[in-house]
Amino acid sequence: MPVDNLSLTRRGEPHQQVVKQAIHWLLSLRNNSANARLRQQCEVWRAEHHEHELAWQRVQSLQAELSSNLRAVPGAQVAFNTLENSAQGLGRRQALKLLSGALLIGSVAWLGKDAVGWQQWTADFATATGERRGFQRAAAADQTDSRRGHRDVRRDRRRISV
Amino acid sequence: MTMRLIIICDVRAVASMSSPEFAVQALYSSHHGWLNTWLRARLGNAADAADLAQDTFVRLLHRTERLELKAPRAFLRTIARGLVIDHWRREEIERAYLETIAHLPESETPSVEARALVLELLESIARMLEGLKPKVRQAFLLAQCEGITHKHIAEQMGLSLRSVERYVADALYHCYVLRYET
Repeated sequence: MPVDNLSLTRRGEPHQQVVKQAIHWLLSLRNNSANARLRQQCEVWRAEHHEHELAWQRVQSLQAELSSNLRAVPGAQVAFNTLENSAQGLGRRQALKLLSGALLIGSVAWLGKDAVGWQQWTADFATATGERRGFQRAAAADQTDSRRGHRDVRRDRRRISV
Repeated sequence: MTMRLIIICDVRAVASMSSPEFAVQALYSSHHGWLNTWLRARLGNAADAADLAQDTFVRLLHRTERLELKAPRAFLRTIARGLVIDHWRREEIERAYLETIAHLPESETPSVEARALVLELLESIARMLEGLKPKVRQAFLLAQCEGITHKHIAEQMGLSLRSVERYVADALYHCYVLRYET
């Protein structure tokens, strides 16, 4: 059945679901090329609606084009290896260089975070975040306690920080 | 090249001050230096950066719609980013291709002319497959290039047959959308 592309385009593109069905038919037939019944069922589906036929024609020609282009590359596995290898290389470059702005901001934040860590290392009281409140309360307690004379600071800290 | 572009813009600007060319000229004079620096930071190479900066403005000259831009640098960056990716893709394909054929016996390596055609072919396929997840791309390429059955691909990739079928179908749909719906 010849397809009049122009008139069909005016009526609208094949629906996404129809395109996916056409792809499903194509791949099923590819895997079961000897199955005459499947072939016949596919023909019935194509004849059901002009939209089915258009989607089928397009999917088939796309598949034929891709496969003939790939097989036009001489050498066993050359096309596969080149495309895989270059896609990985391109992915790496995009991640590294196009995101360099984001990476820069990220690394400044990371360095900033690290600086805080360094301050903690050099501080008299090296505590984790959760512990800091306990220290502040202990300090506050020390101040109130100082009014009543001297006390064992360490004991107060243990009492106040839960 | 730089001089020629400016002259073209000037001549056309005289004919119609509100023409797209005039808008491109205005963009060129205020942002060319900035774009060049932006590209050089990405490409790490002054000559490539100058070429792609030029290409970016040439692209603009070919556009037919009016350029009324609120954020001209964001707009230029979008075009330039696409060109940078095209440039890198070409480089990566050439590198990967030469690496692959380096292992072939000399009798099987194509001539320089044949190479140029093959690279063009590979580039067009790579552009079509861009954006696919690595496993989807791999399964699809194995099915297409080597004509291996889905069952065999599933075994080779350590996936279920169902996943391979879905991947190949997804990849073909991705190509369909690129070809017919954009």
